[in-house]
Amino acid sequence: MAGNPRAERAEAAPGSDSPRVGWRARLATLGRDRSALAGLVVVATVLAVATVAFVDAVVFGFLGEFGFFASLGVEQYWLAKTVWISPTAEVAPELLPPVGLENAFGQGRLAHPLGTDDRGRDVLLRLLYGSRVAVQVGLVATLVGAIGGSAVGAVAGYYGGWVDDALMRGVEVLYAIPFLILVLALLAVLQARDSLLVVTATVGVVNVPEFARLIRSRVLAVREATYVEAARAAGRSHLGVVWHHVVPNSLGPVVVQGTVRVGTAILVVAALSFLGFGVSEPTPSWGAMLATARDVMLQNLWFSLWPGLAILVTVVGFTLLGDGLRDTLDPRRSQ
Amino acid sequence: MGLTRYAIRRLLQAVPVVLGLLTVTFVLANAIPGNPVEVMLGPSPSLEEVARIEARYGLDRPLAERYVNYLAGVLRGDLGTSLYFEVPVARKIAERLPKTLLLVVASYAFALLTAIPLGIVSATRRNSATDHVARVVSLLGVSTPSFWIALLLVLVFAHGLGWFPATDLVLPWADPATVDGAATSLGVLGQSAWHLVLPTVALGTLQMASIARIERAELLSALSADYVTHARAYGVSERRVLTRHAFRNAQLPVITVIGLQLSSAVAGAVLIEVVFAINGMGTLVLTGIYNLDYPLILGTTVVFGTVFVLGTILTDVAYAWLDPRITYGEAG
Amino acid sequence: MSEHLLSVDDLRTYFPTDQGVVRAVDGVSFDVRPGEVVGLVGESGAGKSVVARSLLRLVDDPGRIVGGEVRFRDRTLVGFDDTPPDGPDVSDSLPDREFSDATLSAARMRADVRGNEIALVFQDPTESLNPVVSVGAQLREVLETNRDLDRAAAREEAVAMLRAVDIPEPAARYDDYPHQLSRGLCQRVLLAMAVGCEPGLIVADEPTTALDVTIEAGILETVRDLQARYDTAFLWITHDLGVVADLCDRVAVMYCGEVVEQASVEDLFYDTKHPYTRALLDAIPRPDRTVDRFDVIPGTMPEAVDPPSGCRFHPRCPDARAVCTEVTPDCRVVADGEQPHRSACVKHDAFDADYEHSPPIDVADATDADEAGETEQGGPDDR
Repeated sequence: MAGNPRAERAEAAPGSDSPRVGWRARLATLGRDRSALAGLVVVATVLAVATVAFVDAVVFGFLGEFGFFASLGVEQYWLAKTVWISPTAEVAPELLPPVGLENAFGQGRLAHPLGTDDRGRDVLLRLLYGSRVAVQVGLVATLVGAIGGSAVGAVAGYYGGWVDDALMRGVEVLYAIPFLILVLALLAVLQARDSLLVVTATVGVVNVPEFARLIRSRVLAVREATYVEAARAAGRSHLGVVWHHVVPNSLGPVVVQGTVRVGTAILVVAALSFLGFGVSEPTPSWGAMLATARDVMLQNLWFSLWPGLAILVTVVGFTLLGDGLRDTLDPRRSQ
Repeated sequence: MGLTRYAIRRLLQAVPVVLGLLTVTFVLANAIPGNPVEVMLGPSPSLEEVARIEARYGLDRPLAERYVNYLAGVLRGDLGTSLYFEVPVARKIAERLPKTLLLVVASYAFALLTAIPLGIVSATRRNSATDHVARVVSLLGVSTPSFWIALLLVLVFAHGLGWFPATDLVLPWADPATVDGAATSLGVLGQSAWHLVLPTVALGTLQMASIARIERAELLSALSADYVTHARAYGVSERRVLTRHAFRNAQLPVITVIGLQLSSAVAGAVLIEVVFAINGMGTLVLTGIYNLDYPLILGTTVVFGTVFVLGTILTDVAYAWLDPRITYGEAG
Repeated sequence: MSEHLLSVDDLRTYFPTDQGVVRAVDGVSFDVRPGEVVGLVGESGAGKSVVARSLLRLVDDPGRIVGGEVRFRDRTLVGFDDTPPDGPDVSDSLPDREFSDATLSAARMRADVRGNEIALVFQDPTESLNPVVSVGAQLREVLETNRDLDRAAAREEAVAMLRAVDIPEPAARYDDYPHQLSRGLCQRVLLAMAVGCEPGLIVADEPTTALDVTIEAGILETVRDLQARYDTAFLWITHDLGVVADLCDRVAVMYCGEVVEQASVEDLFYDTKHPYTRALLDAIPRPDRTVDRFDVIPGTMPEAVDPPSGCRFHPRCPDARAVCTEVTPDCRVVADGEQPHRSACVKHDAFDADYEHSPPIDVADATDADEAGETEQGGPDDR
């Protein structure tokens, strides 16, 4: 709205370009935003489940290699086995429907509330443990993209000139290859179809352009601002001033962008594992479960439902949280 | 006119990008450990076999020479020979490209035709029941994996209700003799449309949701802009305010998003082709990857990348056409 | 009453926010006679822009006009059937009040009043023009909407109007886009839009604030010229008392959502009857005097969410007494004459508040200016 003098004054103040409403007030606004809270709840739940799964699958699996821990009984899926069964245990009849329903393969049973998959493994358990892959790649890849992208953007924005041109061209080339093709090509060429590490790194690299552009525009804006000149005139170093103003201003949008990108990354991981990349049997993964579901679609349709729902709910959670955070951390952009 | 100059400038700017793309793909294929020869012949091949394959594919030449040959070949339209299919890559791509293009164009059309009205309705009836429903639908659309939507659509509409076929696409210009259930060209068109419905919806949903979301956000932003209040202050009708002022300005970021969508549209096409068993570019890439067919992988990557760059240029030019500040003023 | 072109009576426009209801315009009354220039003066945030928008019912959601009456010639632009004397009860949220039957419908406002009768000139010319449409086309659109002209005639008239506001090479400038014109030229385009509609009243909301002084001088001259030629009345909103002295016939001074003084321009400057106006005038630095420090008004204007009790200016008023914290003065005639001089200060006899016997109170002085400071939480500002 025109002529909002107070907001204009506040925007001109160095170090802050948000309307002058206190932190607490904005957090309170977030608290009142029901959809953001819902997103937070979903994200927290998924993170919790994924963390447990990570510990049980990766940490215990790793520790179980060492004599000391093995002698204590530590092994992969120790927790799951103690409480119930291993997600890779092929103990039950195949393709059972969820509890309470019946199909050609038999009756649903309480021990397997969501049914079993094509190898007689419990669906619910695999669903819970499948979150580990999604979250692991999602978080790490986004972090890699955010840090790498910020660095690239900061350097490009700060130095300008040919450095800026070269870096941004490089970023454009990255944009030029549709990311799925890039990931697949890399996986093929590196002959690392099952490497979660390569998948994570590639998805991370693909995230770089977004963050690079974000940080770069911030740096450019700050560099041009008059108050930087004023600060320099007062004796502070150029880099120091730019850093001092860019970081607080950028943190918000980066967190917002990052949160939403985690959701995107999870979709990418799901797509990759659907195509058979990134994970190998018997590691549970939502995308791979959907690939199997496609093959047995006509025999057990329920199986198609759960992994997709898991992905959907998780991504919705991250997106809602990101949108809610945007209102708190990046209030200049209206919805 | 400024626009033509701008278009040409963008095309010229694209050349180094495409060159970079070609270089990256070349490096990926040739400078990375992992001998394609071994892949073809299996472990411990005999020296003669290795030499024969190397000579046949020109792998015994120095790297720089191979690079130049590669670039020259690309300019000629020669993308090498597929190891798996044993035909020129370019020919294979030409075979498979039409179906993928059909799918992508159809899904874009579907997305635009549904998303823009959806976004407009959402913005003009802000916070109404319609708006809330639209926002929920959009949110679900961007968060659902497209291949899952495809699966469910097949389950419900193909196998369940039998309304649509579950596999493949029919090209509208195909010979009626080759198409089941079509006796005439009109029949082919009908078959084409019928086969197109489910894959288009599956692929287009993500795009539709993304575009609707940004359309809504940008329209809301435009509607609260000063020049809109100004127009209202002078008695301009609400309809004119919407179409003449708000809409035009809102479209600018939307066009950018549509351009960015191209990347995910391509990725989605690969997935949809898998679910619907369509033999297009997507399944071609996958075949190449499953079989470590390097020439095929590179060829398809290059084609995808170039199409994408062209798409970006198209988007930029469309943006410049709408926004006079781009062509008249200084860049950036 | 019918001799007044515009009469505003007890106008109230409130905005609901998380921090409470912002009473941006809280009982403002003034009038404008045909052909005269009335200045509306006040600090940023006093509510002047909100007044301007309220006149044309352009207040954006969630803000709303909740009381008072605005009449233009013989039509009611804003009217309610009954308003409590202190404004409607807003303890919880804004009351949803319907306009009276006599009030013009939204359609009528759009067709008959906006533009044709009352034209608004906004503050920031570059934001008020659509960046993707040429200035000429926008001017033509406004003329088509508000005058009975077809497209071709409107185009001709648009070029003529561009010439009338002293834009050089008007025919060439017609096809230019806003970003190609300087701010001064853009502001002239806005003026052309306003004058081109041949309204009875032009409301100019700080039209020269964003321009530098030499450009401003040019615009003011053009305005004087236009006023002489078309005999349009102006409501000139500004915080610059120099412009007021130069241009206006009468002045209303606003503070924190209320009018605190209204008088002819000579009376305001030479016979000031409100401490706030006095302080504003004293604060103007004089190049012919050397001083040790400037006379600033200590403290800052309070947010309209939680105004001080009694007179809203009392915390900063050098003449404040105990009675000022209890009585909220309305703006009433304190001196008659050719032009009635109104003031909202209880020290005048018209108030009968026993000001003389009330003990003086301590207020912030210049050295406390830093402590008074701005509040951390701010409501949305008046527009």
